[in-house]
Amino acid sequence: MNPAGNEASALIIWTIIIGIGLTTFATRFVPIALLSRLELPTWLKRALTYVPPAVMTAIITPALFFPGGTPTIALDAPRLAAATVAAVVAWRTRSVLWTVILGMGALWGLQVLLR
Amino acid sequence: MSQVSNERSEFAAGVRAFIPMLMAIVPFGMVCGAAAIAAGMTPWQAFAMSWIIFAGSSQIVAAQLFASGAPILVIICTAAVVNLRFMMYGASIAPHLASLSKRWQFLLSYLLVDLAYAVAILHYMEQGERKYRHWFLLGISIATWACWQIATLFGIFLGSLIPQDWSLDFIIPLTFIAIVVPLLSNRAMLLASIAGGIASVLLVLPLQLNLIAAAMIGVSAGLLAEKLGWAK
Repeated sequence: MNPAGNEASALIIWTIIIGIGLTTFATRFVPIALLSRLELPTWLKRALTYVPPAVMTAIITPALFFPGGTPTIALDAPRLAAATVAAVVAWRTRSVLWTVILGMGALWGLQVLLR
Repeated sequence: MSQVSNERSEFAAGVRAFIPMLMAIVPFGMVCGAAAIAAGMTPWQAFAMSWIIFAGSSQIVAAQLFASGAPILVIICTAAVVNLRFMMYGASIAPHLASLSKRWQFLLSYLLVDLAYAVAILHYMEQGERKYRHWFLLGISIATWACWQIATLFGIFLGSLIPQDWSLDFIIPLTFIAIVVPLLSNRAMLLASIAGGIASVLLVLPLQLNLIAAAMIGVSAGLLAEKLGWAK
């Protein structure tokens, strides 16, 4: 590794960290500081309602289909099945703890069975 | 709930309410720390992420995008889209925090995260003395924060020691599943979720813009379904 390259990538990483830090703080602080006096427009409120399901599912799904991070046709059957188990658990219990425990249990069980 | 409520009892109640969340926060924080190291960051940079950003899902997404060589602006914008949900949390909790000083609002904003928000908003809806409720939010938030930093450090320094075939990275989608499934209370929310999920897998866009595009498609699908009267 050459030192100049390291410095450049360090600068990029710090820009990313501080940039995300500032935008993240803004998304948290602006509504709390201003909304006690101002109201969000209705259309924005409606749109924001759909951000969590859309974003969360968009983060989850590729991790089930492309576990290595690269698109493949062969989907990861144990992960997909364990995620389905986890979704049922989350729906029935609404508990993060049980979803993680039973989801991991299902994945490990399937990995052992399919080995 | 006890009848007598003061700063200390509310703060302690907040810390106690955090305890069941430990098992979700610890592995999530560890995976975040490990992901930042795996993406090529130094331990100090990985740790700075966890207290400067302090938002697990955007930390993970940023680490993954950085590792895949996405441009800076795309990484920052994607993290912003992932964090847009905080605006919704902030908007819903704002009326309860309106009477607080700017310093309190600043602190509680910085500490706002999904699980603590979800528990605190329920606490605000309970009956009883309201004067010191923000100490509850502070208690659960500070406990979450401290636990998150420690878990991240464990992930940074021990992440590479955990064998790959334990598949602990699977905790991330599991945590998100636990957060997202209870939200799917009507057909419009379900459609937003399905559309976002399908789009994230099928879209092949340059510059790793997939997540932003998938989020917009999911939100549009939700709004469209609402227009059709499916939000009931």
